[in-house]
Amino acid sequence: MSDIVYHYQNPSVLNKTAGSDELFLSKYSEVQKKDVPCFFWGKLKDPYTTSRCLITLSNVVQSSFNLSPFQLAMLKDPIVTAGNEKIRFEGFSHCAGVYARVDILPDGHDGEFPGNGTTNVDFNQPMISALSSVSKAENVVLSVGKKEVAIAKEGQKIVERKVPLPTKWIKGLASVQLFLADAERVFTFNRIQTLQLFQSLPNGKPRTDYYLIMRGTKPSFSPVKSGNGICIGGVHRLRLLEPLLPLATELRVFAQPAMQSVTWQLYFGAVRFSLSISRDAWRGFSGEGAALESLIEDVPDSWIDAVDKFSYANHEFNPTLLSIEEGLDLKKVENITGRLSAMGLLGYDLDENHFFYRRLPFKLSRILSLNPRLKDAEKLLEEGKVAITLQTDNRVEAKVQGSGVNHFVVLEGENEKCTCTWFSKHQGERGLCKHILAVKKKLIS
Amino acid sequence: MVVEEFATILRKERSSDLISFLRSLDKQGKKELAAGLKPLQKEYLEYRQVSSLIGHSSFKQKASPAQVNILHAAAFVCCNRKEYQKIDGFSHFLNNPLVPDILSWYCPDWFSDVINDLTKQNWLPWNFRYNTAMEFVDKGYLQPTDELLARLIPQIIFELDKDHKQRFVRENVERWPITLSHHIWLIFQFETDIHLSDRYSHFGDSKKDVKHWLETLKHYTALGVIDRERLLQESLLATGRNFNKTLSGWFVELFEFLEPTVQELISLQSQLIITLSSQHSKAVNAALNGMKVIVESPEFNVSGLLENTPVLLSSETKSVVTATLTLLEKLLRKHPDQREAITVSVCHAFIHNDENIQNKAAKLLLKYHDASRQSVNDELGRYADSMLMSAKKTLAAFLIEAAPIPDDIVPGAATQPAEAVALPALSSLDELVFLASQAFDNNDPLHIDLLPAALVNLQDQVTGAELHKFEPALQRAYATVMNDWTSTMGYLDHLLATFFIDVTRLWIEWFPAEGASLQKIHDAFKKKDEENKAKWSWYKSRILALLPWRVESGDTIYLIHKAILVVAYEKLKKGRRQPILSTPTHACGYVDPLIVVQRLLQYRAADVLPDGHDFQIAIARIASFHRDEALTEARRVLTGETLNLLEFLLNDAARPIPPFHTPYLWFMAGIAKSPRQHYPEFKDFSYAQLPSSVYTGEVPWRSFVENYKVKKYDYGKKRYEDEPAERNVLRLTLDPVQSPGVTVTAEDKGFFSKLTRLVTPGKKDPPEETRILYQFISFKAKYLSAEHNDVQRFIYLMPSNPNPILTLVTARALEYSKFWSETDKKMVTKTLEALVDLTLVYNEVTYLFIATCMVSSDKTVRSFAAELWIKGVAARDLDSTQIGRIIGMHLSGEYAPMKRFTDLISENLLKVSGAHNKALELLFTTMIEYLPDEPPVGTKRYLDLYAELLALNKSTLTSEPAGKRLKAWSSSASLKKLISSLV
Repeated sequence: MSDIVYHYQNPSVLNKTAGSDELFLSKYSEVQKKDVPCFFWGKLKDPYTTSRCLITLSNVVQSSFNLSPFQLAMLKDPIVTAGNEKIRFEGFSHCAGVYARVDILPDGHDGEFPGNGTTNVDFNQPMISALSSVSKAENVVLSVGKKEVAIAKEGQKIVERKVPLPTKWIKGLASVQLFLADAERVFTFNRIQTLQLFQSLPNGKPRTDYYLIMRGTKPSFSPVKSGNGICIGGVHRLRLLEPLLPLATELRVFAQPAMQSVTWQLYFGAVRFSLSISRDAWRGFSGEGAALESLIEDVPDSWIDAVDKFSYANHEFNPTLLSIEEGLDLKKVENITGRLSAMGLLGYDLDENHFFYRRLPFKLSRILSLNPRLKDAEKLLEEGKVAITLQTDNRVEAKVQGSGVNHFVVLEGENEKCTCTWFSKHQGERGLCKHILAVKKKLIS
Repeated sequence: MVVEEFATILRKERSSDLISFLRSLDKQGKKELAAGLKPLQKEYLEYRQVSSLIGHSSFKQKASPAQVNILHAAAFVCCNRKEYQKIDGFSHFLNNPLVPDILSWYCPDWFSDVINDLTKQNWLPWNFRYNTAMEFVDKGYLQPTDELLARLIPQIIFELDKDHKQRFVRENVERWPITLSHHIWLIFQFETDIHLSDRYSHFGDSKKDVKHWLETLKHYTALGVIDRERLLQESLLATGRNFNKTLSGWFVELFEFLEPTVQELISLQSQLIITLSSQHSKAVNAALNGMKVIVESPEFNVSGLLENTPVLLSSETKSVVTATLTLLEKLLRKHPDQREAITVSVCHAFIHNDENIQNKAAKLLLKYHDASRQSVNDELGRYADSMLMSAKKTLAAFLIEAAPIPDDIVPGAATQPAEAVALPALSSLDELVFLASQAFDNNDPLHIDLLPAALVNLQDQVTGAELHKFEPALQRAYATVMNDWTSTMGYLDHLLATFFIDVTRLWIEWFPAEGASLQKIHDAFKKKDEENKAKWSWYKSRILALLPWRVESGDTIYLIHKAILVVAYEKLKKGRRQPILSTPTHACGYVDPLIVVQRLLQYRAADVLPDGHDFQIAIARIASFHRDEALTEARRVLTGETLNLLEFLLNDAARPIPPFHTPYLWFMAGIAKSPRQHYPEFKDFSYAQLPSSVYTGEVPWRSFVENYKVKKYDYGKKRYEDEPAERNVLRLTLDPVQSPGVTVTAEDKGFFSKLTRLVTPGKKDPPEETRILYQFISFKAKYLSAEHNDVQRFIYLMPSNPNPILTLVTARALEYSKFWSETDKKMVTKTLEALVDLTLVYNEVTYLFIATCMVSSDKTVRSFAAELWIKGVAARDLDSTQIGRIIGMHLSGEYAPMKRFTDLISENLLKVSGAHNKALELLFTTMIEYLPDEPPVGTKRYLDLYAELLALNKSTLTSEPAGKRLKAWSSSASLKKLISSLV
């Protein structure tokens, strides 16, 4: 336990030099992680904004845009990751189509991290009540413990119970990080522009897609596509951000190139709030296939142990350095970030433009079992249903047995096609189909 | 043994023997019985379908109510929590008369948890009341959670009479002292339904308006039993606890009902400030009202308010903004030393596009701001863009004059015209295979054209060895016709799938051995279809052939696509390699004229005539570019009537040159050049007798308030009666489409006459008449169903002249001021989506459609229409006065309220660019001319916007009719001042 504290006392400061991955190596033991009673204990420098952000996060977690009330009752839990001078709160809407994160940056608190790690907690009503009464002039001490999260305010203490992480979250958390890593900043707005933009948000729940466009210096939501416009499905979900807008100094909008995810990041000095929404209100991040491709190739267990051993919550993840330190085969390390985030081990920081380590409190084997398409691909291989019919330097053709028909798969450079329903419908925008996955896996093996 | 004994008790309903039987069980006996309960539960409690003698079916349990109680009681004693809840999932034990007798000698260890977990449901069981819970507590059975108690409190003061009426018994709260000392405070911590207790409880008339809980709390506060100070604090804090809007509002009501004194308000300041952050405007307003009372007190917390002004002044609720400005005004007066901070705060109000708010803020700044305070000047500068002209005028001294809005700001709409986006040409079999696999998903509106074209063009590449690659596509086609309708599917997807199924039959005929796998798919689906038919009496076979394919409504518009598919099918069947003429080469259905010439050349080379119908569509789709090049090429390679026709079509100055063997093509070419132009050369064509509305879409229309009868149930007379009612409608007078006979020449007796035969002929129709494309346009279905998923494809049949389709969409889907159905809304939205990318030629119908959508009840529809206006003005081919005229007429006819229009202007259309502001001014001026002498509700806001436009454009009102109308309005007190500044 004390070792962890020491590690905190000598943190490798997160410095990012432009264009290259920065080294980070520091000894860390999983055994020690397990018994850390508290990840953070200290004063919030901007308790009012932080509280408002956490309330908004709780609104995200409590919201649902496509689920039945029965499903609603099953899920309710954000995740806290503390370490490397940062505290990050993450959460999903019930439908796993809205991802929100509150980052309390180093200047946003005055406290200590006796340990570091990740825990998932339930934001119950009394906790939210406590948050809503936090005013600007108040002194608020936040303590994030391994077993509980509590806000201590003038002697009053509200304790939360830990709850298990739902399946949807694990899948969603994995997929959304890959979308974030893919995303590029498209717009930056000041407070006035932000407020003007949200004035043009349509009422109700529009079924059509909207586009964020610029007219002169004024941003606006429009149902009509424009040259550099960002496409937003289920635009009404952005209303979740409204209570925070007047407090923010800046809004940055990041879009994934295929518009599968758009991230709205609000800045409040040393506190950041980001909201990522999926392509459509009716589909969450969990069902997307972004993570699939990264999982085709198996990662040796010893290798994951090595990553786990040398990584700390919220620290920048540096694959090159890891490979040097641990003597891993560099070629294998090439796609490690993709693979680790697909396994739910990494988060992505849009501002810093790098992955950070975030060890979720669940077994790795669970996430790997969560991708039915990958499992189905493996089943196709096991049953001998994949036949490569042509293999040249730049083209592979294969025949894959489907239900009642044979699917035709063509891999030609970046161009991967299949005749199945999934591919026909989504044209690769929602990840590879099980047939292409099976062919690729067969080629690797 | 135990189980048998219990089964007897159960069968004979011997409740009286049950308790002694259960008490006699030892641990083993209970275990045995628990295991034995499962089959009994299945037998007695499971719901099964029961048919009555007359054939009605219902679901019933075998168990009588007494048997249900016996089973549940036994499970209560013998099972663990999980097992018990499997048997009694709805907590029947709470009203099981046998349970109290059991509890006296046995309380399961899970009892308390199960009751506490009731709070995880939205509703507690209606018969589980606070008194019952407290009795359980007293006897030690229950350790209640705070949330459970909070949820039970609202019904303490009500008792249910035998006649199911509620009785108010305030004294119930005194039965347990802990209720008022502790439990009562829990209602401020958890979401309960206390706010509903007056509304949904049936008290009888005498107690209708009594606010039972508010009175109760006030009563006990007056007696000193409840701490008044704490009650005031908690009622304020509860409004910020993310409770639902009505519950939060109830706490505001409680706070106001307690009538806090000035001194109390001063001591409640920190709670009032917290309340300012509530997400519900009612709470925020209450806090602001409270502050208004104490704002001039020396103890008022100025900085607390100022910290919250950015949030308050950006509120969407106008009353919050004005109340905040009023408070700030008082502070400015009272605290001269803090004027800089306060005036910086005031600037936030300029985010609102509202004349009143901006003027109020501007006046405050004018009075209290000193130009030397740079921080305020800087803040003002940031809001310069969103400031209205009147506010700018007031604050001119503090503002640096901003550059005027440039005329040429590129608007948000797509910059590249659709005509310029070329479609990739398909050249390989693989491309055909992947196109066929996705063509039935409506991924792209042009797939219905591209698939048949590719099948024709690549027919030589489809050999027996390659047939297996089409298995998935055939499976998809069958799935499209057999499965239930999906939300994005149109009738055209069904048609295309039917076509493809027929094409694969041809292939199997040619390559029986290699086509076996395809045949297997045919057989499997045919078998499924037959099985379905045998299974359900209502089932109609879903596998149709292409030729008899039709839509239920009989809409002939579907025949246009069907005709292309029939043409393609015939070409494949007969091995004809000439391409389909009308296949789009560019986005939105446009066809490059040069490509049309090249395609025609292939027909000429093979000495085959193109299909007349296909040719008509090609004419309707002809793009505006490459016309000279196409003409040069045509002159080089074509001759005769075809060349003359192309000359006439592509050369603006050319006149029609006889002979006219294909009059329908000539007439179509005339429409393609200009729908309104009449050519004397065509006067003998029967089409010349057609009402021009068939191809211009222009029909008379009127928006008005219609009287109609609505059926309402009269409870006294126990029958439905007609009652007079009013509705706001837009009516278009659609001409009955004439069907003139046409003499068909020998040459075009080919497919075109076949198409005509696909239409069920009317009695008056001559048998072999040839119609022009526009005569097929119809939306006959009584209720629109999937047509919205097809409308884009219809429009892309005639991208240069979609007006006749717009007429029908307007008549069908915009008939009422509010959309009659979600399908109607989708129809309009999809039509707008299709129009956005087209280069429109405006006529009355185009203007009517856009203007009507601009005042639609749906914001998305309004925004779409706004984009069309922005695009039209930017391209300088839209006449804004026409839009102004139609909106004016709609408002006069009360088709739409003024607010829809003014909201659209301030949110979407103001300050797009200098040119747009000028066009908007024209629109406004013309609109005034068509508004009634009695100003409609909302005219003040309209005139504010008009004044803003005139100021922005540095313009004045010059229209005489508009001036007259304004003068007529000036008798209205609220408009007088504003109008005098305009005229």
